[in-house]
Order: sequence, then structure tokens, then C-alpha cells
Amino acid sequence: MRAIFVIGKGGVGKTTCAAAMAVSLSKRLRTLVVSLDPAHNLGDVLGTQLSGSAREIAGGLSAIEVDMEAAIKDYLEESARKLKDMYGYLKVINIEGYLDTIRLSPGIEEYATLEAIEAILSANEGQRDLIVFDTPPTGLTLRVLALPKVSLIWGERLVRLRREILRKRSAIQKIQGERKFMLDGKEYTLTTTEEGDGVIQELLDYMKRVEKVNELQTDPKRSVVIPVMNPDRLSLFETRRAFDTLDKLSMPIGALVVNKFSGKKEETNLIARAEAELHRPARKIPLLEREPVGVDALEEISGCLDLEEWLPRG
Amino acid sequence: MKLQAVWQFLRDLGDAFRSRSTEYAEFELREMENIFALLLVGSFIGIPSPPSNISVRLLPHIVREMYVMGSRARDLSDISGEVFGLFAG
Repeated sequence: MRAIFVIGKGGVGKTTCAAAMAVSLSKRLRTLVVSLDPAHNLGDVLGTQLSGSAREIAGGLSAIEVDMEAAIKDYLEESARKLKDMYGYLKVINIEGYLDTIRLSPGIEEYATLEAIEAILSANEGQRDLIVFDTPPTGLTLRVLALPKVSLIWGERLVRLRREILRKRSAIQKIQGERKFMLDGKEYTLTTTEEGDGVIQELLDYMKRVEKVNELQTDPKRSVVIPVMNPDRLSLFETRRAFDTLDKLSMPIGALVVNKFSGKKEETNLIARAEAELHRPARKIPLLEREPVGVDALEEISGCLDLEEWLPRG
Repeated sequence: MKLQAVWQFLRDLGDAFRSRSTEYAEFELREMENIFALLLVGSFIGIPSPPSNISVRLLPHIVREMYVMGSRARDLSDISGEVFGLFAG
């Protein structure tokens, strides 16, 4: 399975470009276009009502609008439930206070988005050839795309520390025998093996899942990021910053899509500058009188994209 | 009776040696367990921590350890005394 991440500043026309690419590629690949942008308008662009379940739009094309609000709520509720179940009786930590903190914790949106990407990739493994992600505005998307790498670094460190803890526990147990702890009349033992340790199992399982996303993101044969911009300076600056971050994350970047090109000389100059600075050819979509809505209108636009040579080969 | 007392003495002596031999390792283990737990909940008190989704995933699995650490924190009031004891011994 291959993936295209369409990124760009808010309002540049990511959704239209993502939908146009998906329409064009769905003729030869089983394609799913997914909107992760909380300000959904994929359904509006495709001219149909979408939900969190895949809806068939045309022959090989299906679409989903992930309800990010609901995904965040589910993620928090699930986290809160787990923590409350397990720690409700502990007075040494203020569980209610922690849960309130988690609700307000920066990054929750990013975690929920990453979980949504991971869930969609897992659910469609073997069922689709291509998934086109229409992403939230650049800032949030870049943080989401950076999360797998950051999570893997932390995961590796925690696994290393945990293994050292288990090794020491096991060594002490060999000399002292099994240690039992009496707490409030109950007897506890602490595990000394990797197989019996829920922490390390959970960590390894999580890392395996995140590693899959990371592998997909960084493999030029399987994924590509398509930046969309408008022919204006602010858009170019943001795209340039996005390129820097994507380079650091070793993510393959495809051709530049310049949307709403009116043909003015200053715009032509700016596009030439963007091509030179970013070392990518620009595909121009002209400024249209009417917003393209529906498969046929999107197919017309896809003619301007010509991204074939930049697509992951699989 | 005397034999039993001698046997008991030898057993206590063995226990004492065993306990002494692992004292340092046990102290180190306790500190590592504390660090691990602190890393997981550190973001709540301003310590750089893993992404909070990792913490949230792991916290349910270290309930027992948190419980044991809680009791240790209650029972052990003089950490510096313990450290000096370790190195003085």
C-alpha cells in the first residue's frame, strides 16, 4: 500500500488537490482519500456527504472524513477510563487532577491524528493500493508527521531502562528468592521477565505500530508528501519551512503544486523562485471562476497536476 | 534445642549476608524504578517526558510498582541516611 500526504497552509486548496489526485489515480489504483482536517470540506469538494466510514464515490475511489473531534474525545475517554480503572484507589497521586491535565495537554490533537492515520493504514492494509491524506494546516501536520520518530526515540530509551530494571530484579531474586510486598493486606510480587512485564509488552507493541507508520512515511517507494501552495510570498515562506522539517524527518517530497495561479507576471516570477529554491518543478492549477465540485470537475483539474513521476512506485 | 538455635543463627547469618550482598543493587533498582515512574508522570510536574500518549499507555501496567513505591515513600523517610549507610558499610 502506498500513501500520499497532501500538505499546505490553510486555505491554499489542499482538499481540492488531494481529491483531484485521488480521482485521477483511482482509475488504475484502488484509492481511498481521507480528510484529516478538522475543517472538513472533502465531502463538499466531492459533492457528496461523507462520514467516518468509507463511502464509494466512483469505480475505484472511496472517501472518508475522519471526525477529529470525535477521535480526540474517544482517545481521551479511553485514556481516562484506563487510568481511572487502574489508579482510582491510589491516593498518592491525584488522579482527577492528572486527567484534567491530560485533557488540556498540548499535543492531544496530534496524538489523536496519528492514531487515526495508524488506524486507517491498518484497516486498509491489503484492501487499497493507495491512500491520499488530505491533512490539517501545515503546523499541525508537521507535528503529527514528526511524532512517530519522537515516539520511537522515547520508546527505545524506555525499553532500555525497563530491560535494565528487569535484569536487576531478576539478579536480586536469584539471591534473595521471590520478593513479596504486603500492601493493605494484599500480597504483591513484581515481575522479573520480559514476557510477564506489561510495560515492556505495551511499549514493544506500540513501537511496532509506530514503526510501521514511520517506515511508510520515510520510504520513497511507498509514500510521498505533495506540498500545495498559492502563488504568494507567505505561502512560499511556509512551504520552505515545511521542506526543512520534512527533510529533517527524511520524508520524500514530490513536485510542488501551485494552486490558484492567475497568470500574472509577479506570480510567474514567484513560482520560478519557488522552483529554484525548493528544487522541485511546479505544477500549476489555474485560478478558476467556479470552485470545482464533483468527480468530473476534479478530473479536469487533475490534468494540470501531472505528478506521475513523483508518485511512490510501490 | 541448642542445635536448633545454632541452625537458626546460621540461617540468620546467611540471610544477613544475602541481604548485604544485594543491598546496593536493590537501592539502584529502586532508584531506577523511581526514575521510570517519574519519566512517565514527569510532564505533570514540568519534567521533559515522553509523548503523553506513551505515558498513558504505560501507566496502567505499573500500578503495582506505583503501589509499592507509594508504600516505600511512606516507610522510608531518610533516603540520605540510607545512601550514607550503603557507602559507609
